[in-house]
Amino acid sequence: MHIKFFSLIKLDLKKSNETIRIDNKKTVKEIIRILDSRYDGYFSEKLYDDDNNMLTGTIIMVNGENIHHLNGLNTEVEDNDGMVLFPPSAGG
Amino acid sequence: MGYLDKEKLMFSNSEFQRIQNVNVLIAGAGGLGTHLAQQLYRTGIKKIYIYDNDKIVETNLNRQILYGKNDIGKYKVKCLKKKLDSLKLNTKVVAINEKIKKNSILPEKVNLIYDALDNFESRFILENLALKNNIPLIHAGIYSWFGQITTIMPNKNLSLKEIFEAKNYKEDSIPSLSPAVSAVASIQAVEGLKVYLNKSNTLIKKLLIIDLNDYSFQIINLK
Repeated sequence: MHIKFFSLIKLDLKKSNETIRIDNKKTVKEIIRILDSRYDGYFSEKLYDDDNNMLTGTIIMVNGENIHHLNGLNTEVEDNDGMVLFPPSAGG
Repeated sequence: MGYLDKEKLMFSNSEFQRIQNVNVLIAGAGGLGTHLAQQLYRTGIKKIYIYDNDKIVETNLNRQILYGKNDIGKYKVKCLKKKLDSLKLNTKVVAINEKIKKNSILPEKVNLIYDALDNFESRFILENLALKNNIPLIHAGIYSWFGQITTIMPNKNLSLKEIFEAKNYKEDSIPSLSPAVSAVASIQAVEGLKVYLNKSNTLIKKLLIIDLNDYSFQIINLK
């Protein structure tokens, strides 16, 4: 599956996307674990508090929908799904 | 010859007339709001209602065009109106020295609402007013080199709240650079006019993410 990174995440990682090949359905949480293994734990540090709850500040979208309106971190994804990690810009 | 002659070349006669009849509401007279007000004023729209109850402080001056050192301590909307009025072009500016609230009563005949606020909590309040009054909301946000823009059509697509969730992304000090704010506000201004004119290629159901660090502009399709 194709994962896009935006703004500060892209700046931190110096990369705008990542492709992960998955054979079976996986949860977003499992995808983040895979990303962690490739980026030295960056994502869990950015996304979770000490109790593994999602921190505010980053949106995760699957096929254009915020995972909060799907099944949160337990949202299942397949290889042809698109995922986006995006810290929204709040200023005005 | 008129000052809008070169703008007229871009539009059909009926589109050009429609632009001159647009009334917009800009919520926030900060970075995005001052740039938006100046850009929209130049397009010759009918009326700009600008809402804010803040006073100008020195840290505003790196990006909030229309304000200078001598304006520190003055109310933003009053200063903004005075500066734009002094240009003596057609657009009427109405300064409303209030913060947008849940029970705010919007002026009549507002065609577009521009979100130039600086936190999501206030944005969700503004969105409720836009939905209640059936007015398109043109959202933008900025942070450092980055910005995002999307258009919320009442009851036709995901709401801002659904896209961003009711989380508080507010930070104490948001990094900002005037040209970056200007770039985002300019696109936001254009987007509103395109939505009003029913042009194609708008940001309805799309989130445009602007990155001036690597000059990428990407669109995410929303549900």
